[in-house]
Amino acid sequence: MAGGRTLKILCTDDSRLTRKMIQDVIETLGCEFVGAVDGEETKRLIEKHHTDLSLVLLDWNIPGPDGLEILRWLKASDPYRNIPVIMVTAMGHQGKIDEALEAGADDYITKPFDLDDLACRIKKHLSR
Amino acid sequence: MIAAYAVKCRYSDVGILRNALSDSATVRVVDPEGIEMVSPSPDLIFVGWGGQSTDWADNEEERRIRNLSTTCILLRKIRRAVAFRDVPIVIVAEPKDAEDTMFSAQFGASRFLVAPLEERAIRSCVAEVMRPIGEQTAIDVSKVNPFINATLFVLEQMAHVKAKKREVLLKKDYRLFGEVSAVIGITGQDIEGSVALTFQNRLANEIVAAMWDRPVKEITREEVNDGLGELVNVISGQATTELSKEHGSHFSFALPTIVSGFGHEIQSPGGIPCLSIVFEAWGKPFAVQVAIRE
Repeated sequence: MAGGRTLKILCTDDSRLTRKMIQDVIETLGCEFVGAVDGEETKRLIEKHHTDLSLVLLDWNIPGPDGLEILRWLKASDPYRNIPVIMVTAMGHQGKIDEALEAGADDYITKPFDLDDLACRIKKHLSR
Repeated sequence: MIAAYAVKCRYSDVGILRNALSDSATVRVVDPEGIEMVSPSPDLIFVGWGGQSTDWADNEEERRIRNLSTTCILLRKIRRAVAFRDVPIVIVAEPKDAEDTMFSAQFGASRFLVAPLEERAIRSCVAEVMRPIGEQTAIDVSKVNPFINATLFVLEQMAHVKAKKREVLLKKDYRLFGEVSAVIGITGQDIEGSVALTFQNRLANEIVAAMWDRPVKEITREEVNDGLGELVNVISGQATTELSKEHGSHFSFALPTIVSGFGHEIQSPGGIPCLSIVFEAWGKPFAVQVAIRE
């Protein structure tokens, strides 16, 4: 929580299991979880919640516009560009990591992720 | 030498099979009742169609139906006994049953031989069913090891199960004899193909239940499919990350697809060579099938 306000975190992943795992981490940190399953829903939720969205956790391989497209759209848009984004994805090769960081991702976590490590990364970006 | 079994074949047909394959195979008669226990596991199985003669009380229709059900039940039993080993099954049938044998493909039959058996036809059939897809003759361990390592690591991390690798095979066709598969397409510079993770339903349910940390009976079919899709996604990601370090390639994935039904087939156009890595988790087999071409 920041200044009494519950921090809101958007998580996009087409796997319900992964969203549930991340939701548990987010809620354990005392934050509010908002979930999306695909690129279009992610865009709609960012547009709806951007004024109080503290962080976005974004899978790469999702239906509709993929995670990289969403990342580029978000970082190119004035109201949203300062929302930190952590890519949470199965693709771990250096080329993809570089591509995401160059597109503006603030961090990159490869699946399978450690829940404690995920919690630490979330706290790190929320405290910025 | 190919180790072949003959199950419910007429003795005369077994003799012809042995003569035809004397240079390339040993043909052993096996009782269908004990097929699960027979060792060593065969490379090829001949199955005699039906085996029920028409006695004076039967009519032809009853005989055909009984032969069909008997053989298909046997085929399912054999496929379960060989688990995920890629063992071709050749049906040996009389001409009057030839049309009915076509139904057996969906129960695991690979090819059919129709009596009277000819030695040249037998040898041609065996050569065809034993040939690996894409004429590949050797397994490239540098391509296989990343998938072995990724599967073992991901299952331990996500489902808390210590799986074991049993064996690696060159596949002879694209059929998967699990009951459910999660498939993901892979593309990259100079590379294309797919990875399929295939299970019997029971083990799939157990593994996904472990991922959810809930009892198996609470897990829905939708949750199983979701879990399997995520597993194949993460395993492929881990494996291709290791491959890209070795070979410098970059990869992209399609969204995972779930395919159900015994004997389903994941075709790769152009005859991409296909490997099957058979694992074991909690005493039950499963397989990761990798069809990748550079």
